[in-house]
Amino acid sequence: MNDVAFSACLTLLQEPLQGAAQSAAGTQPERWEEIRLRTGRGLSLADERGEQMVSIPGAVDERDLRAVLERATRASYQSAAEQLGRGFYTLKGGHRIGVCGTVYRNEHGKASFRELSSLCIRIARPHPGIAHHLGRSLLEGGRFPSTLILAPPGAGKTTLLREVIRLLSDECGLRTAIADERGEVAAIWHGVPQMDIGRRTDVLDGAPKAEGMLMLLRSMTPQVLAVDEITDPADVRALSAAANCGVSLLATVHGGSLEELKRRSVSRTLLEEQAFRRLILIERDADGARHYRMEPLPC
Amino acid sequence: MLRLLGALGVFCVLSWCGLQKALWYCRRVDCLAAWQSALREGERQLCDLGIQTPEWLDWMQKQKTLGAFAEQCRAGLERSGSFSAAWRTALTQAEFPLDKDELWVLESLSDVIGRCDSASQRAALRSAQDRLELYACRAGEEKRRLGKMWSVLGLSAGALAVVLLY
Repeated sequence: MNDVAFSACLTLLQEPLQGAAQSAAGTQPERWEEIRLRTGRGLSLADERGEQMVSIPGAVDERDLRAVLERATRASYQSAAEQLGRGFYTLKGGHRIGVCGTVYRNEHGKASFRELSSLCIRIARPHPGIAHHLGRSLLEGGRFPSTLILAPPGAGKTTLLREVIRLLSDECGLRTAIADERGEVAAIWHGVPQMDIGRRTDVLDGAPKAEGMLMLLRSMTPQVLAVDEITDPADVRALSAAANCGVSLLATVHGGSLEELKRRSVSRTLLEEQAFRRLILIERDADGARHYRMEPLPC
Repeated sequence: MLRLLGALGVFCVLSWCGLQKALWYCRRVDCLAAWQSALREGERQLCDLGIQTPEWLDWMQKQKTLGAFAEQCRAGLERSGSFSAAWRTALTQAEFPLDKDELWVLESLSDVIGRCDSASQRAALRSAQDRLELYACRAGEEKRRLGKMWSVLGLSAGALAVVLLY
């Protein structure tokens, strides 16, 4: 069976790694979420259950990693240096390459990689409709109440955020803006979002979240302002400023429960500011299926 | 009459050989000048402006001397995804009128262009430009001395052959 997303990422590998990965993917290439290469070690495929090493002749070396980046950037490391300096590169289709190695600062203070040690090719796949059942309850009285998405790492917060943004933009008709610091929500490639984030959505890609939110408030007059992963006090201050301007907020934060949020200083401040009215919790049952539970936040 | 025609034929061949050799020196000077210009433009586009490498090859395709090389390199890059392999293959097949040291300077760029950050690419391109400039000076000198010599030699040998044969 052919999976377009997996095949697209596979073309980044040179032979014999490409052939080995294709064989290891078996008859279910759509199950794989990542392709990983590690210098001096090996090649592996990863899905939500874990990582499976791929049998290859010899070991992966740095030239194999450089070859992947060469193909990904169209032999244009110089034009990709900005993103690569932040440890990642976004491809057409929304796939991302995470980069690991020895970092050095050039004469302009920009980070660059002297040597590469690992690459992680994350395969992007759209998940339309995962939040469909939330659709009717997203608005209250015609407005979108500021909402926080809470879940542990790897639970699918960014995927849910993206889908809620799309619903607000396309189905609720709201003007939405995303401060997408790491390009993980919209996956902008040559100015075009590679993920479906809705027709009425504006994306500010690459700017620090706090600064990006303020820029969007001033320039794009959003009705909903979205941001992924609130981790910094500056993010909380920017969210409060946005809330005071009457803009609805949609954000994600790491955590397993409301009680856990209250124990951490940044998220406690977030709750005390009362910028958000409700919470969407992502829970997984015994079969690994995700469920989304919406509940009001205490005032 | 036949002897006259034969002698004129030999004159033409020997003159042509001499002139071709002289022309080779001219082509070499032009080729080195074209490469220096291309590398200067490469430094501007790749390192100053951060333009993608295929776009620089598109610019090179419009240059007279390097057009065919750039077209082949671009096609090789699209086919294999490896700039290094595409550059080396295109250099081999282009048959530029350059000696092995000059070709080595160009080949060595294949491991740097598009694979390193701007600073490293700039250093490599400038180093290549400096070396090509030295070779260009030498080539210009050879064109003046040896180009003239070969032209005269060809014509003289042709004339001598006419005299001997006719």
